[in-house]
Amino acid sequence: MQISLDMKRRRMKRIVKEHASAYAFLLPYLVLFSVFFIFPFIYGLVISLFNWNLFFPEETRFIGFDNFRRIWFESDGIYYRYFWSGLKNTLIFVIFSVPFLVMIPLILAALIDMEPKGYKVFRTILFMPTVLSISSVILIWKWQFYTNGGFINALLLKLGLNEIPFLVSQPWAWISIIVVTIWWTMGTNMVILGAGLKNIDRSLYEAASIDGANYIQTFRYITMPSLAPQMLIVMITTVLASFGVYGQPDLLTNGGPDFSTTVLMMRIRPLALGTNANPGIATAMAVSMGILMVVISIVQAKIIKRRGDA
Amino acid sequence: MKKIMYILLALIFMLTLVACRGGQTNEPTDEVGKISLKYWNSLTGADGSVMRQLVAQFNAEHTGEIEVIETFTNEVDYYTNINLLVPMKKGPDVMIMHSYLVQSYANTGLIIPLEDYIESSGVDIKSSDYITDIFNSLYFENELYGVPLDVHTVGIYYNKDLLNKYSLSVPTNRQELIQAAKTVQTGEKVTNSQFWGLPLSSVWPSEWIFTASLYQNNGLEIDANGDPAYNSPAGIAALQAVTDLIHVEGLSPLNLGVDQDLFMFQTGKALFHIQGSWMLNSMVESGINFGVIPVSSMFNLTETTTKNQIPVRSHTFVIPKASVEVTARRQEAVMTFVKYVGDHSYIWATAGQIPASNIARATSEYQALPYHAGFGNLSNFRISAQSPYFHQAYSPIYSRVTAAMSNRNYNAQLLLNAAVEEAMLLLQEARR
Amino acid sequence: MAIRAVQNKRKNISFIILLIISILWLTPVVWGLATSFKTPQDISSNPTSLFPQTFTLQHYQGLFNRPDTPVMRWMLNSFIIAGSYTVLYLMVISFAAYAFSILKFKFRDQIFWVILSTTMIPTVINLVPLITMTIDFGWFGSWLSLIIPGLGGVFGLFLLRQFFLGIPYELIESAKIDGLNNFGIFLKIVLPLSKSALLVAALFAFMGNWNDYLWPLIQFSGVDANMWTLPVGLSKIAGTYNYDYGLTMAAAILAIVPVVIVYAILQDKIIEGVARTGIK
Repeated sequence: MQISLDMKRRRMKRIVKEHASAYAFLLPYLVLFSVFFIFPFIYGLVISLFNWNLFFPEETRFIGFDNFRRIWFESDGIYYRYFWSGLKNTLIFVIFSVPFLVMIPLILAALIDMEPKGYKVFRTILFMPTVLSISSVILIWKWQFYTNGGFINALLLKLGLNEIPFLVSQPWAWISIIVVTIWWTMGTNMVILGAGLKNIDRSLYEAASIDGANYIQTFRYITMPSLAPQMLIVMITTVLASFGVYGQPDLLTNGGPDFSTTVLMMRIRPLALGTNANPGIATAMAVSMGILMVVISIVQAKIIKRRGDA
Repeated sequence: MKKIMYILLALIFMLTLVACRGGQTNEPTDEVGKISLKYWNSLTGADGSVMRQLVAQFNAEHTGEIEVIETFTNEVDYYTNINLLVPMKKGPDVMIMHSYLVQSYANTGLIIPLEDYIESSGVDIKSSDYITDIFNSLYFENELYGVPLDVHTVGIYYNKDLLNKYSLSVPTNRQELIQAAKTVQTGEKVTNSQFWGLPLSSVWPSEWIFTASLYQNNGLEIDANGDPAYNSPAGIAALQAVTDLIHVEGLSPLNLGVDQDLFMFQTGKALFHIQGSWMLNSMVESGINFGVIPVSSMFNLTETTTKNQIPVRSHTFVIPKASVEVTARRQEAVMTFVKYVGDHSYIWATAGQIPASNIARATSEYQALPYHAGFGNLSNFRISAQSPYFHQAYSPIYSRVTAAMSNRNYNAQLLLNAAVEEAMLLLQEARR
Repeated sequence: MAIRAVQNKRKNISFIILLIISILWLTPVVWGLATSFKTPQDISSNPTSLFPQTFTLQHYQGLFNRPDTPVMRWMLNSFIIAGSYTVLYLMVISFAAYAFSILKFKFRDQIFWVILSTTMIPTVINLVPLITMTIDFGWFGSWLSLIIPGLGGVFGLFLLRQFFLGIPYELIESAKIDGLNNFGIFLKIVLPLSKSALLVAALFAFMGNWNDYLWPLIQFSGVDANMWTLPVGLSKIAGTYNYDYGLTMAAAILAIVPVVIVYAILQDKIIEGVARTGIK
């Protein structure tokens, strides 16, 4: 009897110490996170429940879930139209961009991992666009896509083909936006996956080679599972970033043609900050989008975890 | 390892402390000594430099009394700053605003009426010193909210050498314009297939061009209730007058992006180019022997009484809701600055703007500027209709104009109706 | 040996593919670079050509000579701010990532996912409360606003946690048996094995802070030009409707040079810091 009580007490002490240790490690981050993220986050949630007046906070009124009702259900209202069309366009972008934004960096990182001649130079070149600002990126690419003298169309004409109005007709408008996005942002994922690849023990590869496995088999059964932690972060952050896309459709195609590339963030931003702001509606839209993103992320995480354990 | 970390930490904290102190602006001590004024505007780029010059000149002539600290932000983010910071009492003492937003900001109360302010300041600013129509457009609910700095508009730049080459005189109406463009285009395309008579970008400044066309075809942006009024026969005619230049007269290729038409003109590949007065210096630098004619009579499809009207916008001085205590001395300082810049806006004119101040336009310096008269007669200037919800009512037409210019088979009525429908929904929202 | 032959063949194929892709990748940047060296007339005549017909340094000179745009100062400011931020951020999140991955406590993973979820709401919404906070704390307009609030960012935390999770638990256990406490394990086992992850996190933290635009723009709205960061300063050089292409491209090229240098340096160290796992 006496012995087990002592053991229990010691176990409890250990658990408490373990917890206290954990909190000590977490404290700085949690404090900063709470002050600068949680607080504004809750503030934002609260705003969505109000008819919030940006210029005269005193005139703000509580309206409960009315903002949500209007953007989700009020089909003859302008905010409903903005929300659903914006969401649809954002989803189109997410569905078509994410696979490329994950696959291409993966392939490139794998190629670089073989360390061919000059791989350091290649790595820097492929990463460089990621460092540019959005306005520089747009400025560079807009002139490539123009008709009547744009670089790509000049090339097409030389090859005897017709010009393509990349920025003003579909599906070219989406293709242009996705191409620019890949060029600009895939470097981030390439670095993360590259670092993950480097962490894989070489002896595993050698063993596989001796067993007669070719590249594809090695990649599928050894590389990918080892890469699971990095794949998780790449998948989730890429989806999140694609949901928040704003600069490329706004500046490259001005949301056109016919508002077909006007994504949700392009509706939220002016409503949050613009001259005719309605922060309550903007926040309701953002929260709705956020809920969708959380659900998608959780599903992704579960799928990847299952694959990683396999 | 640990030691290095601690040293680093200490270093960083020292650095940020230093930076912290350096970054804060000192709250001005108002009652005695120098008054520090915060002045915000969205004038960046080359013409912004001219404004900087003006401010420096003012500060030099008022050392010890008034110091103006200017912050300039590019237009896209400028209004974000105002919208977020003025309500938080971090706004400026005086700022520049585009005229078509004055009514809206006056309606929300973010800017304040000026007449008492001017009176208390004792500075001599009166309406008779400024272009009447422009000045009057700055009243909201019978109170004055702004003092105009300039007006700017679009004009038709033309290549003098090419006109001479084909022995053409400067066009004075639409028929002559189209004829001249066609003649030169046919002639030049023999040797240069990339030449166009009047290339038009479907994106910019298409909203200006459409507005000119709307005015000249006797159309209205909004009616007396502030509702959109452009889906009228006049609106259809206005759209047609613009798009015909591309689709019917063949004077421009399709789908020109921003500045493609500008570059064509600046490299001698176009006879005419419709562009803002603010691009004047850029045209001079291009080396082309050019002249400017107003857009008057270039877009009316039938004889109208309004055929000579020219759309203008204005950069206007406004005063935001106060961030610091406003004393009589501060009011005097602000208005002294406003009057000074206005009187000296012949300097500002070198950036391609037309001064709103009658005093500035009367100076010999302004009279000597070679191109400004080409933008038209002041009596033909027409500023946008006044309504606190002007942007909601009118801006939906912009993207539809682009659509019409990009698509040979557009349906004018459908596009106009779509614009009006969106406008009505926005207005409904705004008027709640 | 057969393995080496296979590896060499792979290297060669990889080289060819990477070469082609890199050339394609580089073309737009070359265009930007070329434009920054073209005279304005050249830009108007041949806006899309990769080879300048003329060569001028006027745009770069323009950047450095304007008294109202102290470009070198802006670069220095950005370096100090982004550098300070990166060091502080790494310290804060390495502790937290360790807790979220190696330590065991109740609801550990759930708390992490909640944290991750709250950052999925677009941050434009947070602007108003954050501005109010920086005003109340007395930081408005100072560099502290550009350094401290971002320390709660979740990307680096997520990244490090994922890497830490990949450390074989046997190493941790054997360290515990050796008598190390949590802090000792953190310092002597986890950190050294994670050099590459830390450097990756450092790179992104540095870049993210360097390129931040809207938040510093708001903070600097009443502040003297000498305190600005590079992206904010450069945005004020280009006009809105009278765009100077050459100047803007020169500014863009200038803005990326420091970060590319930082990247090149860090990338080498990331490779050096590769973990070689092995149970002693």
